[in-house]
Amino acid sequence: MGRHIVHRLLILLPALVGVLFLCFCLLQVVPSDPAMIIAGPDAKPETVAAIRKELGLDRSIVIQFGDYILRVAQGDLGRSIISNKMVIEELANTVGPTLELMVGAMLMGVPIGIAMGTLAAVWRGTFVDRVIMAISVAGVSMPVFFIGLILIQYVGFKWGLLPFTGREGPIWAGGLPNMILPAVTLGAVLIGPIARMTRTAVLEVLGADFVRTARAKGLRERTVIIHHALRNALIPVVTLIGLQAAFLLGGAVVTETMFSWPGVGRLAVGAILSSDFPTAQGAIMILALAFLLINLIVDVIYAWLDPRVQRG
Amino acid sequence: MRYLIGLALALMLTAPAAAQTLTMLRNIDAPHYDPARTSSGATTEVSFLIGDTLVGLDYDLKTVTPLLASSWTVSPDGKLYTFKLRDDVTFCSGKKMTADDVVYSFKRVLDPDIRAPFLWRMGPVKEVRAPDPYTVEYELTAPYGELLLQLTNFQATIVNKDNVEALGKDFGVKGIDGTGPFCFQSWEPRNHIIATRHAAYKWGPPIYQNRGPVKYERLVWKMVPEEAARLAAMASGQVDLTYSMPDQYLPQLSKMPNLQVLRPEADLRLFYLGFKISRDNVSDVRVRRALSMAIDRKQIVDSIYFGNGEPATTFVHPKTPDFAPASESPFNRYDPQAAAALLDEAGWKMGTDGFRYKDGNKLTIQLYGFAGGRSPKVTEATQGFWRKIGVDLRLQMWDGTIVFAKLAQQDYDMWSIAFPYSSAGDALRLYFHSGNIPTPNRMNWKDPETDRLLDIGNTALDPAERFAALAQVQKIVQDQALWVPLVHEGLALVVNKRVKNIRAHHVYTSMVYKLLDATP
Repeated sequence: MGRHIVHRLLILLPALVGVLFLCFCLLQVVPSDPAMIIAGPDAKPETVAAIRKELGLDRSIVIQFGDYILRVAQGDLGRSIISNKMVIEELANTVGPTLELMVGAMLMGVPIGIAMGTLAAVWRGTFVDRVIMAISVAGVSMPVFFIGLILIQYVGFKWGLLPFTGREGPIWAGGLPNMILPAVTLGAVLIGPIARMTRTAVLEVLGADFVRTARAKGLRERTVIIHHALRNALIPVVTLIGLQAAFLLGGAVVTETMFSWPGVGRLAVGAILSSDFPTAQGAIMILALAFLLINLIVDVIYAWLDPRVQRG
Repeated sequence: MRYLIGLALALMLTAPAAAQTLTMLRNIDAPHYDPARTSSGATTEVSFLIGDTLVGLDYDLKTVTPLLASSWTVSPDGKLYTFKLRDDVTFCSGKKMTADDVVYSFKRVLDPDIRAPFLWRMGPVKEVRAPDPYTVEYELTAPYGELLLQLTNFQATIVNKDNVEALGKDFGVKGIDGTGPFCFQSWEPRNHIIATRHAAYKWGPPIYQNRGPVKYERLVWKMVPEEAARLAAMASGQVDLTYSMPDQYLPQLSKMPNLQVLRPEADLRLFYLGFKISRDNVSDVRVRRALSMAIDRKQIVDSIYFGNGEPATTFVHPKTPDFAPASESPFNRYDPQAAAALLDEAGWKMGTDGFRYKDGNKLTIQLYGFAGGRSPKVTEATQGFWRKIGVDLRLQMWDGTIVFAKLAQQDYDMWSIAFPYSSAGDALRLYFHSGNIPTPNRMNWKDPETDRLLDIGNTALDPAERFAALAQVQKIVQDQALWVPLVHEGLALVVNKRVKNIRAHHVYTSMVYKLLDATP
């Protein structure tokens, strides 16, 4: 297992450099000019040229990237060219809220998804099954922003139950009410796929020999379902949860914008829109790292659950 | 039961504190809050509330009032301004403000390394000095009649020298020590800024009944990029005020019983279409005039701005300092028949396909604009109006990240933009002086008479002389139809009625200015 993890970690490094290079090239291809943005709409061409030189944007792309990678290797992500803020500090301030949102979304989405999928499998072909599957199809089909708008309109505005503008601090310091709506919005995306996968997996397991044996032993149906069937059915579900968690990062960008959540997603979008290359690179690096790490964790868990993967 | 009593007590204890907090909504955050290093509108209101300028501006946007300077004199040659500072002003840190801080703040804006976007507003400075701790001498190389007006703007905010030097590059990011009615407490980018009452504050401008301190203990700016969330937050009373509200919501909000929509005395922000007059298709003044006459500005204001603006028939708003009513051009009035006749006269004849041609060339115009905000809708409406008189307007809207770079390349016949200004001189000098070709004089308007008059307007000691010169410039540039003025864009301050005694200002688009009279 140890060797497997080390092997995966070693693959992670070139993948990260690749992402950084790709992202660097993409930002260069965009025909925007940060110097122009800093200088403002009425600046004279000579002022813009001076700012470009000061920022080092007049150098070749290869030199700029080489310089960037060397600095990143030393842990220096630089300063934002728009705000002067240290990129590392910006990231430190935004990773927490994004993580908080993702954990909240998973705590909300995963149990509901598993419960719905299990119920649908147990009552396969009944009205309950059809309702649950209809909900999960709706969950898969509805975009994050639509769910968010509905929640803002009804739960936040019409019924006045929960706040929906920004984060009021960590959840242990009175920030919980502000986190509920964004977490539910993001979590709703998880419910559909998890419910569907759980239903399929539980159905498959329910026909297995060990379930028949468990029933034959005279165990209660609830014990058979929860302790025997569900436990075994969860292997593919865990994989799916891991993959979905990575995709949550994409949903987080939209959710963070809708609910004014100060996370990495908004940082990345804001930086890209203002051509703030160092900040955009830093934010994308963190998102890529999170994606790679989540995949690594899924791989490891999968290998742990099914040792054949390691051998493969 | 004990829990219930505890909860009730907790609510009783927290309720007054909540009432003492004023919460403002904004759609965007600023990259930083260093007033010298930005022209960002998002920095404006924060700068005015956590800092002060030497002189203040009245609601009429013309009258300059005392603020940190209790009085001032101007030398007979107009080159030396002597400001007497109040001796009771302190920064939030408790440090006393002296002339050293004022000189430092101004020199900072003038420093080429700072690259202050509003450097030009400071005038032709020779030297700024402090003969004693409460006197500042501002010496110019040439008279600059608008100096006082320009010093009311946020780039001239007085900062604490020690604070700037201690924070270095983090000034305006990790903190800013000002003399304003509120003190900068914390900033969580893209989420909120928290400021607290400056308890020692008592030097507010005389336009307020309350000269300080402010009546709110805390001020919180919340950044909410989502329009629907801003609307819901205002309507549900979760926040107190905003002026980041899309036009289409304003009629609805003004009818809500818990809200009021306030407007400033004048809207000094113009949306216009500019002509690059060196292009063949728009080099003929008759074509430019015809195009201006073909647009029904009222319809644009009613249907796109939802009434939040005024049809613009002049380059600056009639309530702008040094506005010249006599300069108004008849060609900015809607008259499509006359427009068509003028194009005929210019040799652009209607073809069988409904477009105009001259020497076999179709009258096609390429316009560049910003892909966000109102620009796409307004230019699309223009496209419709011009289509009716046989003109093929082709629109190319660019994302905010590249629009200025594209405008700088000047590969267009026209462009659209909106800009705020403080005076007629300010707007005219920036955009029409030949020294500012190619940017921001994107028309490439090179006219010695315009330059001469602008220079007179700039340096005139006598306000009447300044007005006469600027009035002539307004006449020339409007007569030449260098721009198509479309809308004096409105600003609307949406306020919850629980906030009392508040009036809308418009000092460089900051509608709340010092907030001194606002009462919970």
